[in-house]
Amino acid sequence: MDIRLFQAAKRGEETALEQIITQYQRPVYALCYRMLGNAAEAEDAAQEVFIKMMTKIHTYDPSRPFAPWLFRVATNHCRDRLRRRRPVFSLEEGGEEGAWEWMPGNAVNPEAAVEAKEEAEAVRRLLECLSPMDRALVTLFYWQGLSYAEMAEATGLTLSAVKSRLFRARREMARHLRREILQPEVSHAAQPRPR
Amino acid sequence: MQHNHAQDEFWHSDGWWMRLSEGRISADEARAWQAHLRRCRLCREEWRAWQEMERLLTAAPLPRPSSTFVEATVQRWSAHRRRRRWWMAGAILFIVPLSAMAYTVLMGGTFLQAVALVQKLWAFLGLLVPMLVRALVTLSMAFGTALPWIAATFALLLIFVALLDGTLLAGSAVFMQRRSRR
Repeated sequence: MDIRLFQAAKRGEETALEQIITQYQRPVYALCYRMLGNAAEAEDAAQEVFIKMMTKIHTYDPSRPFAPWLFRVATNHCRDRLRRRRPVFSLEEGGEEGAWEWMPGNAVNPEAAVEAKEEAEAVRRLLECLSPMDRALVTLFYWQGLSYAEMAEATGLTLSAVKSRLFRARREMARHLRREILQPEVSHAAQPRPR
Repeated sequence: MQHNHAQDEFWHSDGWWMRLSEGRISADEARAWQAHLRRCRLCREEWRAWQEMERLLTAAPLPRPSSTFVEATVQRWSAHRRRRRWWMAGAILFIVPLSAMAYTVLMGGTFLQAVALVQKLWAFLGLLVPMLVRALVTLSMAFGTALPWIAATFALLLIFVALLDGTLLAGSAVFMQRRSRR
């Protein structure tokens, strides 16, 4: 982060905040969305993340990369939100207009739109089987393209913990997919044909 | 047979799957893995599911916030700052007289003297407020956002010490009075 922008943000200047939001709104929103699974809640949470970022900016070390620090603020905020939710929570609350569902312009025909929607649904189900921390790791890995070291910085975990937790999360998702999607096909194929 | 069993254990181990997921395998290992996949249904299914999961997650687009996101967040930040300023002003108005009273009590004064001091301060409010604001601006430049916490901690410490001091004084006065009655 530019040192002038950092100083301006430290003074609480709105123009500095505007610049930071313009640059990071999409990754922060995406992280919140993947973690919370609800478009409206993710938007609210992402706004709160930027406000929290401004109030905590004095704790940021400008010699280090800004994105992992911001992702840490976002991850902690989303985990707090998930903790405050009722014990049983579902990502399904997103409704029809959720951002991981089909978006105009992404698909050119209705079949592709239906396919995109089904895939978005499958992604939602995959993430739902993970704990909030694992969901954060998967999001940072697949959609933010962070390295293991950056993920460790963004989550406060050690490097080895990031590696093992991410692996376990990916294996859990693969097994979930095998059970939920691929297995029915196999069992269906294995059934004797009706005479 | 035993060799095959040991090899199967290797292909089924977490260590192998971790290396495989990170792409840290040699060409020989890749060939041996393909051979294992041809004869192990469990690994074949799991590997297929793993690849399907990778495809789903990497193909999923990065969602976008609404078009009014930047504007709405900046407005929210302005409202947050305004609210915070009001809270700070309120806290200062509450803490300053209390600190003054605590200081008077600490210096050996009575509660009434403390009230009198606050009344005197009140009379010079017009003069004191700009001075206080200037002092606060200077201090906030020096301490940044930590200033409210430093000020609150200092004031609370002062009040606590004064209260303790006052309680002890009051307690000992009551005790002495009871003894003199006897």
